Amino acid sequence: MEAKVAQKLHIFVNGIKYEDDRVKPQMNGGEIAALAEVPADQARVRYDTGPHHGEEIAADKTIDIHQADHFTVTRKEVQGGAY
Amino acid sequence: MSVERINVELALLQEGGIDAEYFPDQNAVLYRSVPTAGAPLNLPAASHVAVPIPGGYPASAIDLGGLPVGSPLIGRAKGQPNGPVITIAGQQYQYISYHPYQNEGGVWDPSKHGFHTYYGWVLTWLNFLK
Repeated sequence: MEAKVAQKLHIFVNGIKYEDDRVKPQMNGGEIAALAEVPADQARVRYDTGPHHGEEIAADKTIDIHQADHFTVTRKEVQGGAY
Repeated sequence: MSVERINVELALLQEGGIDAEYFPDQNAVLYRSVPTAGAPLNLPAASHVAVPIPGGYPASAIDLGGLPVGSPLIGRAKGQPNGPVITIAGQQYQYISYHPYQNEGGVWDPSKHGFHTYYGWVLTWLNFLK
């Protein structure tokens, strides 16, 4: 008989897989940003897959996390380099 | 420089569906089809981006971003042409003076940063176009 092993919850942020204890069934935008080392107040977090693709997630907005969800985290501004 | 290290870093991105490849002859990594904020500006919605392997990597921080020569994103993304033009797979790339670890507050830590995390900086860069 084949045993089923529960797969640990994981998500991808900027293409990198995260499956440590910081990944939870519910997370807010700030927690997702923290995975990419972007401070919540400087982060722009968006869905990168699924029906909400492209939608922004506020730092204090809590969303349901699904297995292998993808997110993009960018900073709110670029300081360096003149045009 | 560690070829194995760079390939491990890129494998992390590839697991997440990011198309990234190391070109040792050109001493560069190429991220393919990086999304940009260009569509509303009638600019490309995605672009390949070449990034040089810095001398002494990984002790030295990754720097710069290279856009295809002739890309309308040059001059619209922050930074000025800086450094040589390189050719990867028949496409020329111009390096641009984007310095996340000098101007953006990034603190380079070779124990956890690399070409896998630099992709996030490239995403930020191409999300700000004038």
